[in-house]
Amino acid sequence: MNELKMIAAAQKGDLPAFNQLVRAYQTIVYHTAYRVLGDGDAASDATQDAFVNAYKNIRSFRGGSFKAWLLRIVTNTCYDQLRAKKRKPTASLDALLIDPDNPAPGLGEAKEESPHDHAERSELAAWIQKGLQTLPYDQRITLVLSDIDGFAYEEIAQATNTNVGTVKSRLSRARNQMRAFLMQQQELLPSAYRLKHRTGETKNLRVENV
Amino acid sequence: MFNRKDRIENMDAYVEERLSDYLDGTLSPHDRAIVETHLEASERARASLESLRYTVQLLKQTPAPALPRQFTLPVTSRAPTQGAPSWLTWSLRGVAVAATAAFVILLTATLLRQEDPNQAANAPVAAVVPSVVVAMNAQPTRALEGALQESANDTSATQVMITVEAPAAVESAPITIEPSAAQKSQQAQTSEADAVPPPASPTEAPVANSQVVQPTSAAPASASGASGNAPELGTNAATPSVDASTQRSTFSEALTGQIIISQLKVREGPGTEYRAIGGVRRGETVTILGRSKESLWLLIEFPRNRKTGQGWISVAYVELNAALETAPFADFIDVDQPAVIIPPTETAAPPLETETPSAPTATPDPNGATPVPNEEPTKESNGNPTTQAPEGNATETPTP
Repeated sequence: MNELKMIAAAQKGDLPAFNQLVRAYQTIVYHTAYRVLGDGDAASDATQDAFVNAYKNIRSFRGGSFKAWLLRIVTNTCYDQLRAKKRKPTASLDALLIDPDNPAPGLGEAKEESPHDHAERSELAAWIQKGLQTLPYDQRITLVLSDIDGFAYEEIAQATNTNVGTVKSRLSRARNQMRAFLMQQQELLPSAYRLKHRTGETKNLRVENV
Repeated sequence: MFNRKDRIENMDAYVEERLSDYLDGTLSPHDRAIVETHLEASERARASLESLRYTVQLLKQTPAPALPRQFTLPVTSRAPTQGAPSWLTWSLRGVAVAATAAFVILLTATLLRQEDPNQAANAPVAAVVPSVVVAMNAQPTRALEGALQESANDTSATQVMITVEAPAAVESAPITIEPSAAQKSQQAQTSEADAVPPPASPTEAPVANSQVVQPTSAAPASASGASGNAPELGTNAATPSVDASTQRSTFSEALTGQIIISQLKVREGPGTEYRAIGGVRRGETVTILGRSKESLWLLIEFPRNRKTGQGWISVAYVELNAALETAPFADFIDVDQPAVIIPPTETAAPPLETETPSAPTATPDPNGATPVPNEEPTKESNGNPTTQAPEGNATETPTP
């Protein structure tokens, strides 16, 4: 659609057209970088670098999914960031706070969330961020792209320069690791979110229909 | 007995490896049957599946961090490269300088030469010249790179000349010059240079417009509009040729909106009765695909919705970069299917009028919440590769 036109224009050096693409994708790019790097500042840097690189190399885009092409640049940029700066990932709790008015998908219909629930959700998000940091990079990026950003396998495969089979196995390992991490933190997790793996008890799960 | 227990434990391991794919529904029918059979037999496997599913659900509801700022590139960004060797780039730069200089001179000369032909043509000239100079001063390198870009595209100085000569005679020519007029003045405005106000005063412009039905007259209109009363004059600027209008309508698809409350629910359908599938935050920019029949809901791109990649948000909390009417109607069918976009079939006029004043800004100033009549350069420069690069790049100067 219009995206192709914007890309074509950007390839001819039309910066405003490219900036339209930036506006369309900056949220997802930043979000991905944030989850992968675990730090707002690093994510900002990575996002900016990724768009600069994308603009510089936009002529190498030869059709297909622009999003996946862009994400591949993001993936590489984040990796470079991690390697170069070796930042200590520090998840800022503030940035994870979510307005009680609008819980993310998964909580079913947005009922009134009490301040208590709200606090628990924020806490949980911080734990998820910590869990992500325990994953090897390949698995982390795969998990973020798949389960947090909601991309399709094919897009993830393209973004991480691999095939769908590898994406699936990385995803499987990452999810298992994430589950193990969350279960390890059982005692520390907000009570509403504790996993009841051993007993097979599922009625405590708050999320039933997604 | 032992045998059976062993088998189950082996199966646990086998199935365990496949639970992730099973959750996503990507197992082969064969493996799926195995997993399902085993799930019935093994409580352990069931528990494992549940906890895994729960983990994934937790991940899916991880709240999105707020976008700390806009990431649009500043005008000083390097132009896309084809991987040309750097020595070539450098030597071409000289050519570029020459070409740009020639362009400015020719432009000035041509404009001065045609004092008489008609008043309308005269106005844009004056509007253009000062702002070109402004642009050049502000960002020499940018202009150079733009010109360089141009030569790489094999649009040479000759074509630049054609562009410049055009307004004198041919009827289609004004279209080429128009963007530059509008663009430059916009540019000048953003950079807050004093050179802006074109000799043609806002009152003169419409007059010229009615006298000469040539599209040229639109240039002074939009030029003065940029520095003065934008919305009103935007309508004048909408008069030009059919060419320009088609270019606009193609780009009108690039409709985006910025969220203006802290959190806004994204729903599966156009109405509060539909399930919320996620949220967008203040400052987030969403791509608008269409609007509901009553124009109360907007269809947006929403990749987190795996089924359709779309979602609906209330129109009330979104600030659009163009008039709502520029969004096509979207026909909602059901939550499992992408909505059907109904291409606008109305006459070209209404979208034109509404769009001109408020289309997406080309200047890298995303925070400017107020719509700026700035889209013209983008569109025009896209539609007109011949004129595009030298101007386009020279123009992108202003913001810090």
